[in-house]
Formats: sequence, structure tokens, C-alpha cells
Amino acid sequence: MKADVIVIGGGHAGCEAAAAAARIGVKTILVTHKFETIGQMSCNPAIGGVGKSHLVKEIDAADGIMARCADRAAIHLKVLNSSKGQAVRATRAQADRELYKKYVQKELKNLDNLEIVEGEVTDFDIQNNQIGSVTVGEGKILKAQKVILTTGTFLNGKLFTGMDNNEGGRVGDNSSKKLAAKLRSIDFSVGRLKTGTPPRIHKESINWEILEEQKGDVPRPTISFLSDQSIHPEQVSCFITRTNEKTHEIIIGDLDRSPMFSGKIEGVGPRYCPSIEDKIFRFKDKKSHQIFIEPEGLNSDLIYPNGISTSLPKDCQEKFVRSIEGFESAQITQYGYAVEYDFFDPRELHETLETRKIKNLYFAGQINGTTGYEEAAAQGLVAGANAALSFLGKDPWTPGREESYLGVLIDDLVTLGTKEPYRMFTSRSEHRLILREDNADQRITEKAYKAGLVSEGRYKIFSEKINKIIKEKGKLAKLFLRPEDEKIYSALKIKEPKSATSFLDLLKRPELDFYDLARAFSIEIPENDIVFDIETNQRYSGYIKRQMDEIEKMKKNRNAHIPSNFDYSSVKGLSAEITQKLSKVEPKTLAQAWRIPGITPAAISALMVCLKRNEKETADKNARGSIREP
Amino acid sequence: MEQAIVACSTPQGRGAISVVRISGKEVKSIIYGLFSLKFDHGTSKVAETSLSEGFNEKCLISCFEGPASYTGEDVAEISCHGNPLIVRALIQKCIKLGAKNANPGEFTQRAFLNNKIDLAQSEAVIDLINASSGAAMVAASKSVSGNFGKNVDKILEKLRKVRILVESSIDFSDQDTNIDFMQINSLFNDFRCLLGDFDARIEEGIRIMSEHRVVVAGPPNVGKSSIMNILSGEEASIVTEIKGTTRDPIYKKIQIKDLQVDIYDTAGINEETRDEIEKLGIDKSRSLIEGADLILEVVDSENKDFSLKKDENILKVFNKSDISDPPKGFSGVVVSALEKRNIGALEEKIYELLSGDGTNALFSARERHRNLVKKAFLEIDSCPDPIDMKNVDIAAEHLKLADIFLGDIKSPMSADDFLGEIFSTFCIGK
Repeated sequence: MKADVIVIGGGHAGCEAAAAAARIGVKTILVTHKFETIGQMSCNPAIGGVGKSHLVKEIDAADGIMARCADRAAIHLKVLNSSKGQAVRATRAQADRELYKKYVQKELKNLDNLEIVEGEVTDFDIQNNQIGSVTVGEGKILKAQKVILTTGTFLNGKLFTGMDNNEGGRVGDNSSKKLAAKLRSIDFSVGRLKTGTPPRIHKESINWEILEEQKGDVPRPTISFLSDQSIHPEQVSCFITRTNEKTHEIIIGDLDRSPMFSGKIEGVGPRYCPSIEDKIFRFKDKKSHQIFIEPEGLNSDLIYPNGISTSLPKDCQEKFVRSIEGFESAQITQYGYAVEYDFFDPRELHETLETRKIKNLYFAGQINGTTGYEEAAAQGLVAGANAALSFLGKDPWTPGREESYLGVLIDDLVTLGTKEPYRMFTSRSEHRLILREDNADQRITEKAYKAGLVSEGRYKIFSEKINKIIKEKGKLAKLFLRPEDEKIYSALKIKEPKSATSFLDLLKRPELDFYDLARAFSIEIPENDIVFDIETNQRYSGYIKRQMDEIEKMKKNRNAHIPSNFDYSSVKGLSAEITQKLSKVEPKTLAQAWRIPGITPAAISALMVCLKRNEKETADKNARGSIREP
Repeated sequence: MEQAIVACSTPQGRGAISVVRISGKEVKSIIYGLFSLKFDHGTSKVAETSLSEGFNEKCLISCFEGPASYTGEDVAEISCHGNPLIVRALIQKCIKLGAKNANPGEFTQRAFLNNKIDLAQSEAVIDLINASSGAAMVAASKSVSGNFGKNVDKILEKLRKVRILVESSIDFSDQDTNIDFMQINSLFNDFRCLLGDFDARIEEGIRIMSEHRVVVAGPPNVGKSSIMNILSGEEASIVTEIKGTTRDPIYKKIQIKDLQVDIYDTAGINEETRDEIEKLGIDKSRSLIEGADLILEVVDSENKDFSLKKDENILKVFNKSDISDPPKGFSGVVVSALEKRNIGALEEKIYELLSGDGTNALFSARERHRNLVKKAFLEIDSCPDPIDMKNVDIAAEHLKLADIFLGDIKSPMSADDFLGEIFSTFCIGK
């Protein structure tokens, strides 16, 4: 068998990678242990949230599958930050695990160029630092032009519950030891990370009456630009409870039986998603921690208590869970555990996510040190698209950090690397007011369409939306409030304008919203997304302009190009340590070099001076032209 | 550690002693090669080295093992007799033993690259070397020891307290963080006050470091050039009886007590002249007058009503007291350049006016710092006040930019470092 692109792994990165390559139109094979685990949500049953939903919307804008499937599986939807400014709003969906998986599998089955092969990848054939084929199981060889590795936590995965530990990538699934050994034999820099999950509790064993209920939003938001509410399944509520002093006492008493505190786990966990024992240990003053009770699905008997991930021994888990309000007679159906796994230093990747060391081999997802479905899917999309584009000999598709969170994610990874599981936050972006959820399509769809990722149907809908916005804006720019329009401004409860002011300019005032204005002017109100777009862009126009100027400056900075194979040891005044760091990352531009941790302002100025001198020397040489020196 | 560098750290020329400094990885072997001496951290030892056939130089060697040294590398300071020939021979020998000549500022650069000092401190080292008054020296040395940096840290700490709350309210709104906007606004006001205070101190820190520029100005032929020559102790300006002799401004560095002063002699202000070259000279005089820290407005009895019409930074000087008396009620200094009469009083007055109350400066500062603080101020002024739910996204932008500007004074902070601060403040993570 052979394929243009082979994707190894059927998690969120693998699915998005396979779908992207297939959409571009190359022959793609997805290899996974078991077909039925494709699209499995191994951690909490939710998609989106601040920063993460921005990624999902961008994936959607490139016609990826995550958002559409999440909408079809969404059993509880909320807009976070809804009382704050438009720029920071974010959508989050609780998803029915079974439904989500089902729709992902359906999407993949429907793709023309994609074939799915079940089995474990045991070996690669690498010659001259270039990958040629992969071996499945005992000796089935798949020839490939490009290989994308998305093995999640399965590389040398180790599961911990108390002092017991087992090999595995997820409860019930084996880890990929052979592959891990093969990868360790190639000269990649390997690190260990860990992540954890909470115990799962039987629904019927919870005392729901006394718990605080949290209902989903009405009207319900959607995640995909193309979805509407009619595709959502039945909606359910989430609930909230808290740990208490008794809980903390139990956990403190058993800390020495936690593999993390006894030093059995060497991997680094995420700072923002610590285990309950870690939280209690680090924030001793806090008497109580919130637990968000998430439904696992419409037909599931389980709930996911978000906030108490743990690797404490089973008896301790029982004890502390039952000390929590509402969980007094909780039945744990699956104990919490920590997973420790290998990841590879993402600084050894190109922006296309191809490894620097092995040509035609791409890495995406947790293997690069990230955490989260959305972060994984985002990398899958970029790796899948670029593997396919590279196979076709086309230009790569590498969204920049100034235009997308996809760009922020990948630029951070390949430039900064990571010491802990990397998660997206809006504060990682320099341009939060521009990189919004609502305009992800305007930032992504056009270029993704050119790369061949976006269907004609979606592109048509997108173009129509853009045209409507332009038309509507044109109309509103010519619609004026004049000093004589007393009826209008008194209806708006504002002062008489000194001179004619357009509807668009009136939108810049924070106290006026589109709908009030439209009523006062008695004009027809366009669709909600058009209103939101125009209103948001007007409200932030001053800031958007400023950030755009910054982006321009940044681009100029970026253009201060560092030649590949640049010899950093030739730069006067760089310490050995800094030379080593720069040689490792091989930044393409000065701006990229600047963000590498440990690079000092002095080092940057030394580098800048050297680049300028080289540039001048080259220019002088060229100016001398072909006159030969005697 | 990098290859050792060597340089003479004391001024060139003859003196009682000179100090040759070496820093880098070969320092231990160089010290052994020169003196057969074991390199011991924190010690000063006397030993001899042979610099030429039959000539042994006795030196004092102070050893500092990295990282506990100025540059963070192994450092030795060798004090020898202050003869340029000895210094040269000693440096040559160090080079033979593996060192190379240091570039200007390279010791400080290494200290900076090895994180021994921050950008502001390395600037202060240069300021300390160039300080042109006693007060400036004190201020710069406070900055070198980190006083300025500590002030910047204090302000950044305040700002980041606000930012931690503001950013958390955006990125972690679904978490159990209970962000209180009252608290945000009270911290924000604290920060704003502190920044205002800091801005004023920076002004003082810059003023004290600035060079003192004194301009001698007045009508033609009142003896400006003669005064300049007396103050500088040499014939810097040509003195004649002819009006308008001085065309291009003449500049000299002079020392009054512990104060270094740049003094400029200018073309006399003669409104009636038709001479194009003289006119150009007068234009130059005027622009120098505008930028002066102190103007010596020189008049004589024939020009007693002349005035530059300036109220600030002016010291009136009546010259030629040997042939005429000043008008009644003359408030300036009365001198005779010809007979060198009362010049001491003139110097005293110049010193008094220039040195001011600068001894209160808490640190030295630079224009670069002031510009960054001004930019930060602009952000704070355009930040919505009070900060609330609805405007928090916009407030976050202004606060972030203020952080970037202030952070640039020492070294900027990455988004990831900042997230680290959030995580250590709040228990975040469901």
C-alpha cells in the first residue's frame, strides 16, 4: 500500500491532519490502533473556552472538522466573558463524548481521498534523513511521501494511580513503546510531561438537589460559522460544588502516597491545570476549590468532576471525593490517574511542523508539548495542510501570529519551545483586539481557500457575508444624523449633534448600540453576525488601527532576515550560551530571535549590528560588480 | 566562559599605579604563568613577574572567581607601577598567555551578557565613568548598585499586580478567581501615583547627569572672548579691538571645583550688521543661547542697556571695571577681564548656579529612560478610568503597552513569564 500522506494517530491532531490533507486532494491514510477510538475525548468533555475557542473558530474558518462536530455534540453552550467587550468573548460547549466521536468518524469516512487503516505503527524507514515508509504491526509496510506523527500521550506513556503504575497512553489503551524507542534512537531532544484526569462518578450516586445548577445560554451560540441552533442535540445543565476543609485534610494526610510528591513522576505538569493535591499544597490559604460537574453525555451514566484531577491512591480518592458536598455517597466508576509521556522539543520543527532533522516527517499535537484538544487540532490542520501542499510542490500555508492564534501557537512552539504542557490563552497574543472569535473567517478563510483547504460551498457563503458587510457599511456611512433630526437624537437620548454624523461614526460611542440606532433611524436590521461585525469594528476602530500599525512595524522587523546557516559564532559579543540557543532555534528573523528565552537585549543589538554589516558588505560587493580585482 | 580579555583599566599615562584587568576562561592559567601564583578567590597577593631580561615587576594581584566577579567570569586585577611601558609589557605577556585585547566597554558587556547587571545598570557604569560633577557621581553610583533598577522593579511590580487581575478576568473568567474591579481600580491608582513620582525623579536623574553648558553672549566687543580665555586658562579665542572678530562659536571644557563645564564663546549680537558671514554667526549664537544651561550676559558701560530679554538661566556680567563703573543697581558680577579682577567671584557664582540642589537625586537616568516612562504615561492616561467589565479588554491593551515600555528600561518580560505570575497568584485550573 502507498499514500501521499500518512497520518499516525486518530486523536484530535490526527483527525484534523488527515482531513486537511484529504481536502487539499492528496491520497491520505490514517493509521490508528482502533477505529472506534477515533475522535475520542480522553480528558474533559468540553470544547472551547477563552483562547481555545479562538483556535477552534480558526480551524473552522479553514473548513476543519472540529467545530462542526462540536456543534452536533454540544449539550450545553455558553459564551464566556459575555458581559465584557466583544473582543474577548469566547464560546464553550460541553460535548456528548459519544456523539462527538460519531460525527468525527462520519466526517472522516465521507472524505474521498482518505483511507483508514487499523493497527499499531511499529517502525519507520528512514534513509538519508528522509522518511520513506512506515511499518504497521508485524510487517505491513506502507510507503509514504509524507508522514505526520500525532501520537498524543502514547509515546512511553505511563499511568499512575497512587504508587501503582502501568504502561499505557490512556486507561484501556496500550502505549507505543516500539515507536518511542525508534524515535529516541533518532537524535530528537526528548522531554517528559504529565497530565492528569479526575475520577469519574456515577450520575445516580450524586445528590443533585443540593448542588448549584448552571444552565446553558439562551439563545444558544454556535461554534462553527456555518452551524445554526437546529443541529444541537438536547440541552442539559452543569452543576457546581466545592471542596472543603475536610477534603483538604484527607488529601494532605495522604500526600506521601501521591506519585508526584514522592518523586515517582519526573514529568512537568501544566501550571494552570494542577491536580487537586497540587492546588491544596500550593495554595494553603485557600479553604475551598470549585468543582465544575460536567455531563459526559446524554446517554452516559457518568459525570466528569472538573477540578479534582488526581493521582492519589484509590482508597484516598474514595475518601476525599465523599467528603465533598453532593458526593457523599458517590460511586467512582473509574479512578483518577496521571499520565506521563514523551514529547519532543518543538524548537526542532519548521513553521510547517516538519521536523528539521528528518525530511517529510511532521509532528502535531501533544507530541510537541501542547495540551488540549483545540491546540492539538490546530497543529493537525497546519501539519496536514503543509504535508499535502509540500507533496504537491505548492507554497506552504503558515498563518502568522499577527493574523491568528494558529500563528501564535506555532510561532510560540517553534521559537520558544515549552517547559510545561502548552495551552492557549488570549494573553499570549500581542493583538487580542484583532484576533477575535467573530472575525476568524475574515482572517483565515481567504488564504485557506487559496491553499485548497476550503470547499467551494463554504467559500461562497463567506464571500456573500463579506459582500453584505461591505454593502451594509457603505449604506451606513451615508446615513447621517443631522442637527435638524430632533426626533432621532431625542429617541437616542443624546445631545443635538454639532454637525452631520454618520451612523457608522455614531457606533463608535460606547453608549449607543446598533439595534437602538437602527430603530431610531427606522432602518432594516441585517443578520446578527453582520451587526456584530460592523459594531465591533467601529467600536474598536481606534485600537484596531493602532494594532495594525504595530503589525506593520512588526512585519518590518520580521523582514530583518537572518540567513539560514548563519554562523552565530562569528557575531562579536555573543556568549557561548546564547550562540548555542540561537544555533538551535535558527530564527529566521530578528523578531523571532528576540522572543527566544534568555536572549538579552545586548545580544539582539550585537546580532543586528552584524546583520547590517553583512548586508552592507554584500551590497558593496554587488556594487563593485564584475570588475575583477588584480 | 569566553576567551580572556585584557586591558588597562586606569587612564593612560604615568601615575603611581596602573591596573591591568583580565577576565575570561584563561585567567587562572595566565596568573599562574605570570606569577607562579595559585588563583584564590577574594585574595590580594604580592608577587613578581619578569617583563624583560633582568627586569622584574612587583605587582599586587586581586583574584575574583566567576560567577562572583564583575563580569561573572574569572577576573584578576593586577596593580603595577604606573608607567605605560610596564603596562604595555604586562599586557603583551597576558596576550602571549592566551588573552586578547578587550574592546571598549567589553568588561561591562560581559557582565551584562552574563546577567550580572541589567541594561540600566550597564548604562549607569558608563554614566559613572563620565559623571561631570560630584553630585552626578553619587547619583550614578547609586544606579550602578541597582537603585534605579530597584525603583523600576517597584513600579513594574505595582503595574503587574493590576495586570494580573485584569488579564485573569479575561482569560480565566470561567474560573473560581473572584476578580474585584474595586481592587483593580485602587491598585491602578496606586500605580499611577507611583509612576508620576518616578517620572519626576527621572527628570532629576537626567538633569544631574547632563553636561553643563555655559554660553558667553552679549553685544560685540564687550570682552566676551577675554572672559572665555580667562575662565579656560588659555588663548582659546582670538581677541582684537575689531567688532565681530568671533564668528564661529568657540568651545572649551573647563573645570570649576568638582564640576565640568562646557563653555562657548559666541559671536556678538549686532542687529545692524550687513556682513552675511557675521549674520550667520549671530544666528548660531542665538541657537546656542536657547540650549544653554547658563548664559553669561556680558555688557560694558557702552552697552549697559543691552539685554537678551531672557529671565531664566542668566548671569549678568559687567566687564571692563578697570575703566568704568557699572550702572547703579547692577545685579550681576562685576569683573575686569583685562586685569583679571573678580574672576574668582564669577567662577563661584557659575558653580552655585549650575550645581543647584542636585545632591537629592536618588539615581542617575538617561533620555532613553525618560522617553520610555513618557510613553508608559501616555498609555496610562488613555486607559479607561475607572476600569470596569465593559472596558477591561481595552484597559488590558493600555496596561500591556505600559508594561512593555517600562520593561524595556531593564529587560522586557515575555507573555509566558507573565502567565507564570498569574498562576502563582491564583489557583487556576479546573
